Amino acid sequence: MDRSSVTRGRAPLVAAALAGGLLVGFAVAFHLDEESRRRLRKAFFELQELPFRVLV
Amino acid sequence: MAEQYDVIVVGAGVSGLTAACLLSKQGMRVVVLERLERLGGCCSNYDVRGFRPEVGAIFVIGHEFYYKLFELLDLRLEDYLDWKVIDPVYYVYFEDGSAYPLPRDIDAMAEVVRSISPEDVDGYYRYCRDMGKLFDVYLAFLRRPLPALQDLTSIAKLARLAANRELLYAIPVNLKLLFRNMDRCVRGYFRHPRIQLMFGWENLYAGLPAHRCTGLFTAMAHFGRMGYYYPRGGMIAIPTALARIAEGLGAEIRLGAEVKSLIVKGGEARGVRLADGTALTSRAVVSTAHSRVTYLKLVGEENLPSWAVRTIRRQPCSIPAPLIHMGLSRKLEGIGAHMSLVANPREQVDNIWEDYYDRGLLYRPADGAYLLVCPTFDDPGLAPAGKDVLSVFYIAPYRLRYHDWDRIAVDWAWEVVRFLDHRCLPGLADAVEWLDSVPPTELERRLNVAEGAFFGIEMSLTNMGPFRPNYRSRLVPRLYLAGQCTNPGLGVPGAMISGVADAAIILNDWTRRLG
Repeated sequence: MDRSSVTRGRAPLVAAALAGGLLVGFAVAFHLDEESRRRLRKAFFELQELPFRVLV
Repeated sequence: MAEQYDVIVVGAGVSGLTAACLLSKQGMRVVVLERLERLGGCCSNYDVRGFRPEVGAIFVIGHEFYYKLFELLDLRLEDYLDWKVIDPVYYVYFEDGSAYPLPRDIDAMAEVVRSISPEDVDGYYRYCRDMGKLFDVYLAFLRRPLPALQDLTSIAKLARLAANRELLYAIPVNLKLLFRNMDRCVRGYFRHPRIQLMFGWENLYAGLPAHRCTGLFTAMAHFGRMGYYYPRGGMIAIPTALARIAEGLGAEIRLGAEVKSLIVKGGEARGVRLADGTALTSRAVVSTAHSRVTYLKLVGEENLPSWAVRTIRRQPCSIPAPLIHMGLSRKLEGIGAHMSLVANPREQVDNIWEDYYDRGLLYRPADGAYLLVCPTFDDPGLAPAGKDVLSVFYIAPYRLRYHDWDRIAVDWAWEVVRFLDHRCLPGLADAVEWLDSVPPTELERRLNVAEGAFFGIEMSLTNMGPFRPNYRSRLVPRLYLAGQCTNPGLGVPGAMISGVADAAIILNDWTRRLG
């Protein structure tokens, strides 16, 4: 296994960690309540799904 | 080997039957396969001891659309359906016991608004003016002659059909409504909480709380003024008329024929396999089932890429619309309209939505909001003489955190009945002769809709337009989708439009893709 395939294999993990960090960062920075955090999570989820939905 | 049929339609709901009518008219060999022993799917009535409650759909908005569909078939609507306009549009029961009819006439409605909140009358007329512009677009569109069926896939021809002066006038209102949520739109017109509630509860049809629902649904209350219609004989009269036409044009309709799976050869849909093992082959398959059922059960996960399985499984369903059907031994005095809304203050209803999304909790019956439907108000023939049918729609999560729907459904229904008896319909509990509680899980079993959501996929902006499953499947060639999960979604006309679109697309694909 060369270096590039190792990097590719870890890409989803890195992306998930970044998205999670962004979410936590938003929540902490803006003192979001539970409802707002839920809406933010939902918005991130929807954004991530949009390109796939177009292809179904 | 030659195929047995040109097109197999899975599901005898209004979308499937519309497609079957139009394709048969083009001379195609069409068979419609229905799992149940009755027509209509979610737009139907069932019969228990002479009581015939609605299965799902309860009215249609604006019957002009149906005239247009019948024009495509070169038939006269009057020969098949007899409409009755619903007036008053609703009856609203508030928490303090007061009740108001919402008449169809705009000036009479203004008087109702004045009796509750005089300062909202101006807002009401402003609301009517704005929403009237949207209705004018709809009417202008319908007044124009439709192009031939195969031309309905041409974006240029559709745009020419839609382009009119009314559309130009309505663009600012359209944009305002599209990008604001319904809650904000309603508050922009009305100040009094009760008036806001009267004009702002149709988000229920979108399956979303008002703060997440597109403002376009604000127009629904006004469209009610323009005309909610009910076919004589119940909603099943619509699929029955379509089935009669389809059979007259040569289509075959088989009831009690459950499709177990699609026959997928070389990645293409080439027919269906029935529950009894029979295989039927065709050049194209139209599935009107929920997209999750079509792809994950009928096509099978093994025939789909893993990203598609994940996407289909994750696409959010609309809310389930659980029901309580009742046969009443006598006519109740308190029922003042075909449809009634049992309303609670806005904050209380918002709590229900939070429970629904976050906690999977079932509320106390007194905290809920209910839509009561009494089809016998407009058509007494749907119950034995002197008796009534009453159905109660409510909001409830598909999965309950602490309960099992199958165990609590009947007890819960009786609690709701006792609450309604106490709140607005005295004598209801004693008059119940027969009761059928249909929670989301039972709805899923009866109608084969994922999570009991007969509104299909959620009607939020990220699940509308290009983000709903395509009419022509991009995953399985020769498979076409119709029904509530496709565009435009929402209601009987929406389902029928998807049937028309499928027929037009198949006709265009016939030589290029389906040869």
